[in-house]
Amino acid sequence: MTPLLIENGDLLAGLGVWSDELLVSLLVLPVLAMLLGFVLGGRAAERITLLTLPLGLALAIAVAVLMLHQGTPLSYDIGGWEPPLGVALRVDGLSALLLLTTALVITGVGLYACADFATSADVKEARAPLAFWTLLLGLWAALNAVFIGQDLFNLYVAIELLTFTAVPLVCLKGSAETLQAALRYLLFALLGSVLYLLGAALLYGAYGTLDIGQLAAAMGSSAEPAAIAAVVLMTAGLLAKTALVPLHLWLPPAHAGAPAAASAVLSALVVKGSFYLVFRLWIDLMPLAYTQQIAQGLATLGAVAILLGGIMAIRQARLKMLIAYSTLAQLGYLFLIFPLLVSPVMVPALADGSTPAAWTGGILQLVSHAFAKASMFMGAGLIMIALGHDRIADLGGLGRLLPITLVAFALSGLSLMGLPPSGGFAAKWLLLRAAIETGQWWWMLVILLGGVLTGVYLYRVLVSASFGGAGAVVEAGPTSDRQSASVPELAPEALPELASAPSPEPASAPSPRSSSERPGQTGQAQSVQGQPRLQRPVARSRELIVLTLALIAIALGMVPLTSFEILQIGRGGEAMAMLEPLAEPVGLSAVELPPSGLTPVPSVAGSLVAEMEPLPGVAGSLPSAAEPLP
Amino acid sequence: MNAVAILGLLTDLVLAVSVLMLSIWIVLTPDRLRAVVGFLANGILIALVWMRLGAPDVALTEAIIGGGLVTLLLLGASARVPPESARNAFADRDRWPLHLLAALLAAVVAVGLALVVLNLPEPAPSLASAVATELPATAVDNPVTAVLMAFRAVDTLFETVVLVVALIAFWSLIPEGAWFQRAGWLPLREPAPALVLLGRVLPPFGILTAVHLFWIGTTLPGGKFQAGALLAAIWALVLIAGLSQPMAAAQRLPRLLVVMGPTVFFAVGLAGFWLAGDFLAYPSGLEKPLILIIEAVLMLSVAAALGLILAGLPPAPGSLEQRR
Amino acid sequence: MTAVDLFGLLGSLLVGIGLYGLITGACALRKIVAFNLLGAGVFLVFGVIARRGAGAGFPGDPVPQALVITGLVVAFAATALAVGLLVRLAESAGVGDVDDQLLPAPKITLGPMPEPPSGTEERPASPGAVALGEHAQSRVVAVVPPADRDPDDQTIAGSCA
Repeated sequence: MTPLLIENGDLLAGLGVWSDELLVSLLVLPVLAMLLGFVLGGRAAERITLLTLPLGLALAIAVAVLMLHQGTPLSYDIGGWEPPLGVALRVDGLSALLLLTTALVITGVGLYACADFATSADVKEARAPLAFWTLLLGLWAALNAVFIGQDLFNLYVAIELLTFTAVPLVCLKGSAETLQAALRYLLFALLGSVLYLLGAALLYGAYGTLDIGQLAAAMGSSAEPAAIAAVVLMTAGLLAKTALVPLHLWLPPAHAGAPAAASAVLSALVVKGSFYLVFRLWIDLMPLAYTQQIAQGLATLGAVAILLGGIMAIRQARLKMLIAYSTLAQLGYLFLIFPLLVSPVMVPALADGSTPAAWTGGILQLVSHAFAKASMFMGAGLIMIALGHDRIADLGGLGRLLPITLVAFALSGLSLMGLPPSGGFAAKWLLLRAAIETGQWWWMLVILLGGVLTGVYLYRVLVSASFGGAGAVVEAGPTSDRQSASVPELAPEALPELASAPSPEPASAPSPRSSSERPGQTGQAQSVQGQPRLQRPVARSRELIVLTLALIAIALGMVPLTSFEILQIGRGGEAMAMLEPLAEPVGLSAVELPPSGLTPVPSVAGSLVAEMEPLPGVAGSLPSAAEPLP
Repeated sequence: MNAVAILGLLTDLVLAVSVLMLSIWIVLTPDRLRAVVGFLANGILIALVWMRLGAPDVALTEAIIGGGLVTLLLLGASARVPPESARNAFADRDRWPLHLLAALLAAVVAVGLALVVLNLPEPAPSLASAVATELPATAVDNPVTAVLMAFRAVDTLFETVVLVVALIAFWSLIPEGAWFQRAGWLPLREPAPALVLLGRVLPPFGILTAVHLFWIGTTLPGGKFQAGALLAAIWALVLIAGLSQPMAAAQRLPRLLVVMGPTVFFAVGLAGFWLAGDFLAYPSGLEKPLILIIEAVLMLSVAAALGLILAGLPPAPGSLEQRR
Repeated sequence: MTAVDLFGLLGSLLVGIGLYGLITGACALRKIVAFNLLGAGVFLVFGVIARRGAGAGFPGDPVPQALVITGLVVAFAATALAVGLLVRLAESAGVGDVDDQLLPAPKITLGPMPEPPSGTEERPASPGAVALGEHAQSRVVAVVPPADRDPDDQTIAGSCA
C-alpha cells in the first residue's frame, strides 16, 4: 500500500478531486443501502448489508488515505451553503481514525452475524434479521455522521439516529428483561439528547451559529455565561448517553442482554459516539481555561467508573455481564484524557512540537478498546452457543471446545489490562507517562489500580475456562444433569429462523453429541464423560473473526507511535493550538512519514478477511512506545 | 405602551400561566389518563404560544404532532399498560428523598436556565438577514421552507431517515410470530356511530386541507410535515372507526411509500453534484419544481411513516387481546 | 417584562417541570409524558431565541424555527419508540416501568417449554436468575412466586406505580 501511495501520487491527486463526493458518500452509502434493504425486505436486507460492508470499508480507507496525502482536513459545505447558514462536514485525523475503526468493527460484526441473523429457508421474511441488518446500516450512517459532523444541530439529528438504531438492537430477542433494559436505555438517552438540544439552542442564542469552528472562533478566550451553561447541559446529556458514573445504570443490562453481535457494536462504537462529542465540546469548542476547570471533575467521574466498573465486573456470575461492566470501567479511562491533556504543566513543556502523550494515549485507548471489546462480546456469543450458557463458574473445558475463541479472549484481555504488547498497553502507558509529566500522580494510581482490577476479573474467566475442567469432573453429576436437562430448552432456540448459516440444524437436535461430531466444526468427537459438551457447533470462520479483531487490538500496540501524528491533522481548537505550536511540521510529517508509519492501517484492513500476517516494518513495541516522539 | 400592547401582554400572561399550571397538574395528577388528556390540551395551548411568538409554521406542527399525534400514541399505550395501583402511595412515601432531590435539581436547572435565557446577549445574533439575502436564490418565499429545503436540507433529509429508522425500530418490537399480522392498536371493537360518521365525513376535508397546507408551504406557513402529519391523523381516524384495515409490517406497499420520500430526496441531492456542483444543491431555474416534487413525495412518506406508527403493533400470538 | 421574557421564563420552567417528572415519574408512561413536556420547554426556549432574532421583515429568525420543526418530528419518533417498548414490556411481563421488578425465575419442573423463546439463539443474561427459568419469566407471568420472597416485593411486580 505504501509504495502505491508514493508511486501513484497522480492517482491520489485524482482522488482529491472526488473529496466532496467521498465525504458525502460516507453518509449516503449506508443510508441508501438501509432504505433499499428495508423496502426489499427478507433475505435482500442481509445481502445488501454484506455488499455494503466492503464498499463502506473502502470508502473509509479512501477518506483516510486522501486526508493523509493532503495533510490537511477535508471539509465540505453541503449544498454549497457556507456556515452559519449551511451545514459543514469535516474529516480531520481523529475522525478519519474513528471512521476507519467503525468500518472495521462493523465489517467484523456483519460477517460474524451472518450465522445469527440469517432468514431461514421456509420463511419469506423474519423480524429479527430484517431489523438487525437494516439497523446495523442505519447505525453505521449515524456514527459516520457523528464523526464528520461540524454543525451542532446536525450532530443532534445524528445522535438521535444513533439512539434509534442502538436501542432496538438491545431487545431483538424480545424477552421481558431486554425490553426493560432497552426502555431504560432509551429514557436515559432521550434525557441526554433533549439536554443536548437545549445547549445547542442556547449556543445559537448567544452566537448566532451552530458551527463548531465558528463558535470556537466567536468565543475566543472567554465564553458567554450562556455558552458555559449550554456546554455544561450538553455534557450532562452526553454523559448520560456515554454511561459515565453516576448515569451508568442503563448500560450493563442493555449491553449484556443484547445479542452478541449487537453488544459488540453497542460497547465498541455507540458509546464512543457520544464520548467523541463530549471531547469535541471541551477540546474543540470551549476555550482552554474553562476546560482546565472542569477537567479534574470529569476525570474524577472517570476514575470512579474505572474502580466501580472493575469491582462490579469481579462480582458478576455471568460472562456477558462481566464484559458489560468492563466497558463501564474502560470508558472511565477516556475521561482521564481531559486533565492530562489540558494541564497547565503540559503547555510550556510542549513547545518542541511533540504530540502530547495523553492525546495519543487517550485515542489509542478508545480505538483499542473498540476492537478488544467487540472481539470479547462476539467471543462470549460463541461461548454461549457452544456451551448453552455463559456462567463463568462453569466455563471449564472451554479451551478444548473453542480454543481459538479462548485465545482471542485472552488477547483482548491483555489489551484491556494494559499488558504489553497491545494497544491497551501503549494507551495506558502513555496515559501514565502523561500523569507523571504533569505531576498528577493520583491519576497514575487510578490507572494502575484499574489495571489490577481488570486483571482480576479477566483472570477469573481465564482460570475457570482453562483449568475448570478438573472441577467439572468433581461436579460431574449436577453439571451434566443441568446441561442435559437444558437440551430440550435449547432445542427450540435452534429455530430454523436463526439457525447458524453454515449448518442449519433441525429444529429439535436430538442430542448435542450428534451435532458436535459434524466434520469441519471445532471441538468435535472429544467429549469425555463428565466434561462439558458442545451444545451446538460453532463455525471456525466465526472464531477467526473474533480472533482477528483481538489481533487488531494487539497490533495497535506495535504501531510506531510516530504514525499517530496523523491524529494531529486538522486539530483546531485553542487547546490544540497551544499544545501544538508548530502546525506546519504536522502536515509535513504526515506526508513524509516513514513507510512503516503508514502501513498498519491498510494492512490491518486487509487482515480482517485473510489471516493476520505479521505487520511489515513494524518497530518493536516496547522501546518505541517508551521513547519520546521525535 | 398603548392599549393594544397591554392587551397583548395580558393575553400572553394568561397563556403562560395556563400552560404552567396545566403542566404542573399533568406531572402531579394521580390519574394517568387525565394526565394524557391534559397533555393534549397543553399541546394546543403551546401551539397558541407559538402563534404569539410569530412562528405559525411551528404552531401548526406543534398542534398536529406535539398535541394530536403524541396524545394518540399515549392513549394507545395507557390502554395497554397495567393500571396504576395502590402501590404508589406506599412506594412514594419511601421515595421522598428522591423526590426532594429531583425537585431541587429541577429548580436549580429551571432558575439557572431562566437567568441565562433572560440575559442572552443584546443585540440578539440572528441569521434572519442572511436568510433574507439568500432567499431569492432558493426560489421559495417562505423563509422556514427555504431553511428546511435549501440551507439546511441535510437536516431535513436525515430527519426523514430518522422517521424510517423509527418505523424499523418500532416494528422490530413486533411480538415473535406476529410479523405477518395486522397492527392492532387503533381499531375500536365497537366504535360509536358518531365516530364512524366522523370517519366517513372528515377524510375528504382533511385531505383537502393537507393538500392546501402542502401547496401554500412554499409561500405561506405550512408544508410537508404539517400536511403529512394531518394525513396520518386522518388515516388514524379512519382506522379507529374501523372503516379500513390496518397494514401489516410484512406488506411491501407501505414500506415503499415510507422509503420513497428520502430516496427521491437523495436522488435529487446526488444529482445536484453533477447538475449544480454540490450535494443537495438545485440547478438554477429548477429550484421550485424540484423542491415541490421532493416535498410532495416527502409528504406522502411522512404521512405513511407516522400513520404506520400510530396504527401500532399486532398483539402477541396467544395473548388475551388476540383471542378476543 | 416583554412577551419574549415571559415565554422564555415559561420555557425554562417547563424544562424544570419536565425534568422533575422524568426523574420521579412513577411509571414509564408518566416519564414519557414528562419527556414531552421537557421537550416542549426546550423548543419554547428555541422559539424565544428565534423571536429575539426577528429582523429583515421576518417575525422571527427562520433558522431556529425550522430547527424546531425538525426537532418536533424527531421527538415524535422518540415517543413512538418509547411507547412501543413500554407496551411490549407490559404485554410480556405485566409491568409498566423500568424500575418494576420482573418476577423472579419461577420454580418449575424441568421439561420442554410450551413455546420456543423468541429472538436469537442466546438466552437473556439476567443476573440472579438461573438459566432454566429465564425465558419462562417472560412467558409465564402468573406463576406462584417462590415462597422465600419478601412479601413486600410481590406487590411490586405487575403494577405500574
